[in-house]
Amino acid sequence: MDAAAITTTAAPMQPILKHQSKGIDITTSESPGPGIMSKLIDLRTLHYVSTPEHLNCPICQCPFINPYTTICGHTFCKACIVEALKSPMGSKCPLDRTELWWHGQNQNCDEKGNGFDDPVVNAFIETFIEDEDPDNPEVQQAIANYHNGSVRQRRAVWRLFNSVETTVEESDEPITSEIVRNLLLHPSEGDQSQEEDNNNEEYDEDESNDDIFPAPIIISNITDDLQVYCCNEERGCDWIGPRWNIQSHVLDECGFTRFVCGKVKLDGSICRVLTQRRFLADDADSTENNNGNDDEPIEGQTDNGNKNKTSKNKQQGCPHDLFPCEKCSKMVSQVDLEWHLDTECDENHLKCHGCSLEIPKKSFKKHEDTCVKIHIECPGSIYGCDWRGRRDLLEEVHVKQCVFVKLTNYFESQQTKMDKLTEEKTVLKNQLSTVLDSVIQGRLTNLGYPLQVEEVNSNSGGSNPNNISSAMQNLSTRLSNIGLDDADYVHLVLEFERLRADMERLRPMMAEFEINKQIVNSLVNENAQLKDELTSHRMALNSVKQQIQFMLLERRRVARTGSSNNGQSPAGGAGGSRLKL
Amino acid sequence: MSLPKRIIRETERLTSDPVPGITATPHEDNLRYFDVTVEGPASSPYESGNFKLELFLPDDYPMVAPKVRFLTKIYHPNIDRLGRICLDVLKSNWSPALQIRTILLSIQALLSSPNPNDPLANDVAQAWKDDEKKAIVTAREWTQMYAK
Repeated sequence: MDAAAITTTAAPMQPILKHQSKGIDITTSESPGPGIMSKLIDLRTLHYVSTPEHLNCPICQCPFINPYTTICGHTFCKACIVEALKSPMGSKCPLDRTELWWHGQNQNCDEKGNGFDDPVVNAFIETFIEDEDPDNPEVQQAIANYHNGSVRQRRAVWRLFNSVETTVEESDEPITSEIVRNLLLHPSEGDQSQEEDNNNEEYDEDESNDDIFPAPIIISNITDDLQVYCCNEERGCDWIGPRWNIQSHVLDECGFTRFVCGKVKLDGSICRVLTQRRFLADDADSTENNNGNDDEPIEGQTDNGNKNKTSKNKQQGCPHDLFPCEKCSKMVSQVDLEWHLDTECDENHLKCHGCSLEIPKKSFKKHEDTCVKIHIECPGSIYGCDWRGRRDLLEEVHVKQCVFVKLTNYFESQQTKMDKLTEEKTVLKNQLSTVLDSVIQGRLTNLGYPLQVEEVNSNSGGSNPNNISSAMQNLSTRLSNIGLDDADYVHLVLEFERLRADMERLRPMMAEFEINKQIVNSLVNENAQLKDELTSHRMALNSVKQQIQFMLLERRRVARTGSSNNGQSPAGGAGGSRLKL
Repeated sequence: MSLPKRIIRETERLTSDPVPGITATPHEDNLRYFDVTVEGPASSPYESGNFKLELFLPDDYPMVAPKVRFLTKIYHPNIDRLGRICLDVLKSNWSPALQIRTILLSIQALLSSPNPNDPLANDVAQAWKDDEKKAIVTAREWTQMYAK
């Protein structure tokens, strides 16, 4: 197994005789072990049935392979993120530039034996100890400690270094050269304090320290379940299955994987030609060998074979032995037979259903396209016409009457319109879900999109050059009007809190006001009652007044009649005038 | 050396879902070499100009930035006589999560917002600082002259 020569070849090792396609070749007679598999099939070259955008690694743009997630929440293939961390970009997340610690990031330096040697971090350390006398053994010791220190210490310094820019303003305890010196001079103490800061994480020279770690298993499960085409698709394999199954399919099942033939040829030599599994299979019913022909080896390999047709030609020996074609007597080998019959043989006739002529198979397709007697479907069949008949009749008679054909133009325009709308709808839906996501997150970000908000909009505008792009622009301006930065957000929250406090203050006043209103209402009622009472009193008073006047009048009259009858008229006049009052 | 799948995918996407105002077509004999045209952004001095660029994907792409250069002469403080572009994402700020399309969009955005404070073409940047209106007029003239 050590020298297992397994190749995934695009180009054949031998001259191309016939059409040649990409696929998997295994050039060892032993069955490959699991270690070989990963070399055998590069999952990145697979052809996926569909690739959901969100399952693509932002770096290789393929569905995740061994996904790793960063502390900032982004996921990449492990190989991609590791390569990115090693790249000139340095230890930053490729998506948001968060500083990421990774145990292998100074591997190269370690290999050279120089210890941890990041020029940027070195410069940082120097700025903190530059006040010191460089000849001071303490300072030298500090630098030496740092360079030869444990991962634990290096990481501590590294973290400190990365926190300088971000925390120096808000930190209660600004980073001072004192801290750096302590950390460098007393690595163990530094470790402890750092460990406390980091919730007692363990510091070992392994992956548990890293800021990148395997993604949740569900992500690998989903990506491993994605449907892929067989690697031998181009050779004719139509297998489609989950990605996790591709290796066992290619190695154990796929008839299009090529192996070294290894069979004994008619001349006694062993055939070394790469041959697809299906030609090597030892079928029970393929025992005949009626071909005693010459043994010139064929160098090429073919991609197709037809078991039914070739079963009688199957041999115990090598499938590359030549025999004459049944039809034209040209010398062919079993592996070439199907290709020969389909594209080369002049005598392999097929009978046309329409004109009953016998046409060689290689030109049959062409004939089918032109034969006037062949039965074909009405072009309106996709819209529901079930007419089927001879081509000449179709053209001369049916097309002129068929309603569906007449409506075809209309149907087509409707179809394009519908397609356009569907596409538009998809774009809008995506846009909406992005916006909703962002809103749920509490702030507007370009979450879920590799592009900035503006760029996303211009992209979507591109795929739908009509109204959409302007709508998107509107949306984008509106979004930017809402205010994208945290400061605005904080401001809004404060404003909101202030308004809430105002409202709370106003609430008791409102209640008081209600009570006052009730009091006023009851007073009004009382007032009305009093008014009524007053009126009735006034009326009573008036009637009493009238009675008194009447009685006064009566009395005067009695007095007058009692004294003299002559003095009557003036008093009567006075009484009359009183009565009028 | 075979072409990484990512480059194939990016090329496919550039053709199937092109960015408005930007085209990028790979050379037939070298699929890492692209002929690019970028339309000058609206309401910029480069409006209605059609600028040709060349873009090359080095072997280490996407771990290193693509090499991009203007082929059309352009009067811009961040683009020099040789067409080299001063843009952070093409240099120190490159990230493997960026793509050809995002880079070209950034270049288009650079045309909208020239930055004379970080110049590559010193004379142009100086002209821009001294008299912006005049510089914009010159940029417009150059666009008419060379980018038609």
